[in-house]
Amino acid sequence: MKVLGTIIRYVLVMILTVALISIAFINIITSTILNKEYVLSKLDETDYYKGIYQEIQSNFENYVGQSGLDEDIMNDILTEEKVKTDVDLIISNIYDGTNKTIDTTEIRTNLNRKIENSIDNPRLLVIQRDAIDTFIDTICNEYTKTIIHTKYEQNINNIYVKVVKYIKIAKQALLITIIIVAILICLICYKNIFKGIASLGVGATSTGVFYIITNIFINTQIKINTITILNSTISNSLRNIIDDFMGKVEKCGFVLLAVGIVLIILGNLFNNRKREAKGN
Amino acid sequence: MHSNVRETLKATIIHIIVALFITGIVIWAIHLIAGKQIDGTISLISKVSIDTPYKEHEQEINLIPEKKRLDSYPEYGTQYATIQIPKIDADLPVYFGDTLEILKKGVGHSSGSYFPGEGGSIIYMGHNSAKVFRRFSELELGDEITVKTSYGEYTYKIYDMQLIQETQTDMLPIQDEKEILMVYTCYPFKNIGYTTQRYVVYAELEQ
Repeated sequence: MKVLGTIIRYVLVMILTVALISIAFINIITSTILNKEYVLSKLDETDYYKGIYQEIQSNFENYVGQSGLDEDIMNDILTEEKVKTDVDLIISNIYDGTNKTIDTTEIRTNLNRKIENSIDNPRLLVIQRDAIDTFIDTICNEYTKTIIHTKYEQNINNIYVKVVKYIKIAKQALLITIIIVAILICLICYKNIFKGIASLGVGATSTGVFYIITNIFINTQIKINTITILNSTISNSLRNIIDDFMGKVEKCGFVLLAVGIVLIILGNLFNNRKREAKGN
Repeated sequence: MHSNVRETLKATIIHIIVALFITGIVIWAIHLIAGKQIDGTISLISKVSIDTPYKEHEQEINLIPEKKRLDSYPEYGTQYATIQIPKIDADLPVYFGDTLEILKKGVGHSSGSYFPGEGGSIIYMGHNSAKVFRRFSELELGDEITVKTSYGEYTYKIYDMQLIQETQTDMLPIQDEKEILMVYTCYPFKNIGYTTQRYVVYAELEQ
């Protein structure tokens, strides 16, 4: 009977470990990549807006080179502040499930004015007007494309809303599981609650060790500092977020390991004292 | 008291071993359930974890005179020469390749053509912007174009100029009998939007 009780206790500890691993992971991702404020702060921290602004200007230069217009035609047609507003709008679309579009009227007006000012003869031919309009359309599309960076924006927006919905349900289910398992462990050890505390410590220690091993594994398998996606601006922000994410995983691992070991020591210490007192 | 500490220590060690054992089982179970997906993800991320130092400076290459061939070719996108056209005050870097990114920085070298000194057709191109070839219309027959590379300096004399359609690739023939430098840009020189005409300058090796 005692052996059966021990087996059941450790099976419950195993369930507790899996639940703790899952809930800790959910907490880390909801406080990082699934958190709009966190992502915005990281973009700010890594000079993302400035980088995208420079990328847009650089892309514009490609078109100016081909268009035959003067290089300075693109100067002052948009500001870093406008880029920041539009990037934040796209982030809001993803995280808040909104469907706002980027307004390019300001760029359109500024560019049109600068082109018209640069042309000696103010009376434009229809063909010239068409060429200017096409050029402005191309520049505005390029701007929007660089800000969004993906044609799957709509899909991402839908995915995020679904993920958040499922994560909320999963988190509640895991929390209930942890509470039930902890109560069951305590019930099995009702004669000696300290054994139950030590068992909870085993669960926390397992979770901590799991996260430490995961962190070491990922850091040895993937060169996070050289991840390159799309361009240096996006890569830099992404690397920073992954680095921070892994830092949180490591921290979580060490905290759970420490808590687990303290619970094991305390549980065993009081258990032995109780046994000793009983013996006397 | 000592025996209590010893017992506590012993029990703690056993519990930690059990905890490690449980961790092992969880890792094994995850590997069993999602091992392939994890390996695939790591492989995918590893593919984008590349360290490619960007070479901005002129690359050193040498010409083997008896073979009329370079000992090694520049990497795509790197600068290997400069082009000087005194008549229009042009002194521009020449990059191997002809992408938009390259043309933004200076003059591009069409990757299918020969290199200076190799005795064949060399095709260069640049935008018609003020920084590059806007003043191409000022060029005349007999004007000089100099290409400076790490393996030598080559001067060419303009002998022809043509206005062609972008689709007329036969006007930019690749041959290895005579060293000819063909430099082209978009036409009209001051236009708005994309143009379909190209202004080509043909120059032959002088020295």
